[in-house]
Formats: sequence, C-alpha cells, structure tokens
Amino acid sequence: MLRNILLPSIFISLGFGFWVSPDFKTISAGVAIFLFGMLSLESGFKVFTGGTLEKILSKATNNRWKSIGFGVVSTSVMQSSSLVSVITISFLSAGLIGLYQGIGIIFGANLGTTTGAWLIAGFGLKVNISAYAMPMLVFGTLLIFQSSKSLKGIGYILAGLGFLFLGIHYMKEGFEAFKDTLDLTQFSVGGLKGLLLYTLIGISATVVMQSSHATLVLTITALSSGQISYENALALAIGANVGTTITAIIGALSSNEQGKRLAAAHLIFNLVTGLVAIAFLSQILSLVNVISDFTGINAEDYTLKLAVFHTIFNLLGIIIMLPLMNMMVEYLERMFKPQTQSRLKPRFLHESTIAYPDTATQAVRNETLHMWDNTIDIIAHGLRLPRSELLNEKSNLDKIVLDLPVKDSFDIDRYYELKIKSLYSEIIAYISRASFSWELEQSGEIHWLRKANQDMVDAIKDVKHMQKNLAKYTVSNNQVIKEQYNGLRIQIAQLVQSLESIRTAESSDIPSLMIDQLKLESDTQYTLHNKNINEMIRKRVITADMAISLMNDRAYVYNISRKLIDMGETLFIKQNKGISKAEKTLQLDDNELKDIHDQHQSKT
Amino acid sequence: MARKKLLKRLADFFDMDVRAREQRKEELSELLTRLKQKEVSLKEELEQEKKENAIKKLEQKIDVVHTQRKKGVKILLELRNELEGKAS
Repeated sequence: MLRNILLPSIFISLGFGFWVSPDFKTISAGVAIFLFGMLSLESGFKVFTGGTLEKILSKATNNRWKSIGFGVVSTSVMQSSSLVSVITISFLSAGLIGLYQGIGIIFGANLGTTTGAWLIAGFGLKVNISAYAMPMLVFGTLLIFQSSKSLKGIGYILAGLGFLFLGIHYMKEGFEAFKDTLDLTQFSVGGLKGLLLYTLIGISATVVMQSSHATLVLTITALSSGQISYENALALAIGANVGTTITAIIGALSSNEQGKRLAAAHLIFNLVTGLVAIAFLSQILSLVNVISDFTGINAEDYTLKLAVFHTIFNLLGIIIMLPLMNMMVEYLERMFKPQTQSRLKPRFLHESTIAYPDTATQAVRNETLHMWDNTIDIIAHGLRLPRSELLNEKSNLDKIVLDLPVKDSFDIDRYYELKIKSLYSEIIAYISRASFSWELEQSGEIHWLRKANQDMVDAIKDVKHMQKNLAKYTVSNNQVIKEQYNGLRIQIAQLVQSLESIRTAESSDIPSLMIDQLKLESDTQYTLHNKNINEMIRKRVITADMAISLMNDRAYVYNISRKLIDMGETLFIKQNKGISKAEKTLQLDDNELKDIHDQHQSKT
Repeated sequence: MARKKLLKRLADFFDMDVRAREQRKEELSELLTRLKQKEVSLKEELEQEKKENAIKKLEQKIDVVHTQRKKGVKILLELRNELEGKAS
C-alpha cells in the first residue's frame, strides 16, 4: 500500500519543485547524475568480481586487521560502502569468508567511505570538477563499446566517475544559484532538537537514494554555499551513516542467516557510532578543531572540518566496537539461527551470490559438499551403520554389522525426497539461473560439480535398490550369504571412510594416490567376488536365487564405488584448489589402472 | 655473475611460461620424493605382512605408487628438456 503511494508522491513533489524552482531542478539533476554514476561504477567493478576480487579477498581477509584494511581500501577505491557491504554479504553467504572477517570488512568500509568526504571537500569544491568529468565520460563511453570485458569494465568505471563529478558539479551550481533566491539557513534548527531532526533527514535521504555518498555530497555542497549550518550538516552526516545500512539490509533479505548476521552487525555498528557521535558531539567537535588547527585547516573551512568530523566519528566507532566484536558475533549467532526445515534447503545458494562467477562456483562447491554430507547420512542409514561408527576408521565394522542387521523399516525413499532430491534440484536450478558465459573458467568447474552431484544421486539410488536384499540376507540362517552381504556393507563403509579421510586431508597419504588405489581396489574386489560367487554355486553353499541376488547387488556395490570415487575425484581433487597441478597430472587413467589390474589377475 | 647470465635470469623471471614450468618442476620433484617415501614404507609393510589378502592389497598399492612415479619421472624429464631447450 505504502509502496504504491510513495513513488507517485515523490514524482508529484519533485515535479512541483521543478516547476517552482529551476535551481532545485539543477540540484535534483545533479543528484540523479551522481546516482547514475554510482550505478555505472558498480557495473564496472562487478566485471572484476569474476575471480580477481575473490582472489584478493581470500588473501586479504585472513585476520581481523587485514579484513578491516581490506574494507578501508576497497571502499576508498570503489567509493561505495554499500557496494562493498553487499558484495561482502554475498561472499559470506557463499561461505567464502567467515562472520569475523565479514564484520571486519564492514568496520573498514565505514572508515573507507570517509575518503569520499575528503575528496569532495578537498578536491571537488576547490577545482572545476566538470572539466575532469567531460573527458572521463568520452573515454569511458568509448571503452564501454569495446568487446573486451576488462576494457568494458574500465569504461564503466571511468564513465561512472565522470557522472559522479558531473553530478557534484550540478549540485554545486544549483546550491550557488539557490542562495540568491532562497536562504535555506532560515530553516536551520539549533540545539538537540535540530541535531535529532537533521539526523532523521540524513537517514531518510540516504534510505531513499540508497547512497550515503550522495547525501554527503549534497550536504557538503549545501554547506559550502552556506545553505545549511555547520551543526545541521554534522547531523546530516551522522544520519547518512546510519541510513546507509539499508542497502545491506535489503541485500541480506535474500541471504542466509550469515548474511542477516552481517547486515545486523552493520546496523549495530552504525547505530552505536551515530549515538556516540550525538552524545559526545561537543567533545568530538573540540577534537575536530584541534586536528584542524594542527593540520592547518582554516577555522572557517567547514566542509573540510566536516570531513575531519566524519573520519573521527567512524574511527571512534571502530575503536569502541572492536573489543566488543566477539560479544557481537555471539549475540548475532544467537539471534539468527539456521532454519531447520523438514525439506532440506540449500545452505550456500542464494540470490546474492549468483552475480559473481567465482563466488557462485564456490557456493555450488560448498553445497555439493553439503550434499556429500547428506549422502553419508543416507548411506549410513541404508547400511544400518551408525554414522559415528561408519566414519571412524578404528571402529570394528565386522562386529557392528553382526550386531546390527539391516532393517526394512528405514524409509529410504522419504529420506531421499527430503534430504537429497530437494537439495539436488536446488543446485541444478541455481546453476541454470547463474548466467555463466561458456568461455569462463568457472563454467567447466560447474559442469564437473554438477556431475559430482549426479554421481551421488546415482549411488544413493543403488543403495536403495539393495535395501530389500540387505534386510533379507543380513538376518539369514545361511551364514555364507549373511557373510557376503555384511562384506558388501563393510566394503561401502570403508570406501566412505577413505573418501572422508581424503576430504578432511587427515591422512598423510597423497590424495590422488588414494583415489587411484580406491579405483583399483574396487575393480579387483568386483572380479574377485564374481569368482567367489561361481565357487559358491559350484559348492552349493548358496541357492541359485541367492546367487542371482548377490550378483545383482555386487554390481550395485561396484556402481556405488565407482560413482562415489568419481565424485571424490571431482570434488576433493580436480576441483580442489589446494591440490597441486602436479598431483592432478600424476593420476592414472583407466588404461594404466587396467594394466595393473590385469597384471595382478594373471598372477592369481 | 656475467651480465649475460643476469639478463637471462631477468628475462626468465618475466617469462610467465618459464616461471610456470619451473614451479611445476619443483612441485613435481617434491611430489616424487613423497611418492618414493611412500613406496619404501609400503614395501617395508609388505615384508612384515603375513596374511595373503593383505599382501595382495599391499602389492597392488605398491604398483599404483610405482606407476604414478614412473609417470611423474617421465613428465619431469620432459619438463627439464623443455627448460634446457629454452635456455640454450
């Protein structure tokens, strides 16, 4: 309802404003051009998030101070704390970074955003900024028309900066002309009332424009032309700082609990910083004066003093909040808990990650690992081996399989529907929604990850096919068939254990070597079992019916092994950046493995 | 050090392809050492083992390590030749 009224109301009031005052039209056009510049700048930086930014991020955020530094630098370069916070939320949702690092980046972004005020106050108002804007726009637009993605990205950034400068120029012009017709200072309100009122105006303006930068530019240009008082400008800056969290909050709506925690951390930080700034305004202002005197800033240069104020109160926020970071993380983890649902939802696939190829690929990889975790669960249930025992290499599987025969009561179909199918379909849907262009390196990775998921689904279906016979023969009075079926259970359990030790890198063994050994062992066991079945039939220790079931189920176990090994090879070796290229190249192909297999068979 | 040699080293440093091959060569050498250690430890294990099934498994494992090593040595020699070819 409100949304339906809001937009027409804004249109009508703006239209009325344009009709009444041409200067207001100039200022509004300046804001619009500035915001358009921000959009263009965002498009430009997004071109470089397809790998470069992620690579920098993984190296630059491995501790708290580095995270803060990354936040400061990236926001100073991109000139948008909102963009940095939205990207950080997407990285966090995809599991690329942790909450601590995310909060560090947000803290840093708040400090980085203050460079904007310095640039505008120190440079934008002192020189004819539009003179720089024109060539930037021309060169930028020319580059946008180029086919190379990087050049296009640079073009968007250049044009974006051009529009930012042009916007500032129009705002400045508008306010200059405005002061001849209307003196806005007559609306200035003093004291605490004015402070709170203008803080609210700052919040509202930033929420509407979704850019604290735009509010700040507007404030600084108005201040430089004397249209607002210094005190009210300070309040507007405080308001802009609080209002800027709206972009992160909107970004987190489509995110998981981690994204929501980060948006909440952003809001808490900026609210606390704002409150501290309001409560200790006179003390901070004294500090501003001291610093201004020390650095040679003119006592009357209120725009630069505003930049000093902006930096001090954000720095103060970091100093206050940094020791409380652990407490904040604990609180946020309590506040936003992962949703527990009967139908499993993906943990890492969110709309906020889809725009960045490397992040999206990492999200799919993490979700595939999540799928592997569920696959282990379903295999454990299907074989009736407690998960803890199944994953414990020291557990006595021979004894456990005897103590716990397989029961027919486990509804593997339902479990598959709830925990596997839903997740698998979400992964496929996410991949198809992600707009990968096929020349991208990530498309190949995605193809392999999709195959790994398919391998797991196939393996689970084979476990399902074995259920009936497992339940029948693990309680059979015929000890031979019972042993054979328990042997199949042990074989799958040992395979899962080996794959898990490769995944967790707990074993000192070389992963690619382990995978090759698993492949060969699976082939050997299959051949050996077929020989044994023939022997058992010949000796009449099992019936023909039993033999047929065993042969079929043996084939299922072989398929399960091959599918899971293929999955492991993809997920833990080929698509694992921690495994060296050299190790990947040493893996044996099917022919090389067959040669070893045949050599051993001829010996026996 | 001769100026020529120094210049060559500088050129190699900026030659991404050479640097990538050098890095690959180093990784491969290190991996081959680990594989050799693995093969030796498996052979020692084999000497101690008495059970027939376990012996077969170990023999198979040794063959896999050995084949991987053979493959690695071949690649390493090729890499060395390529790098030496570039140097001369």
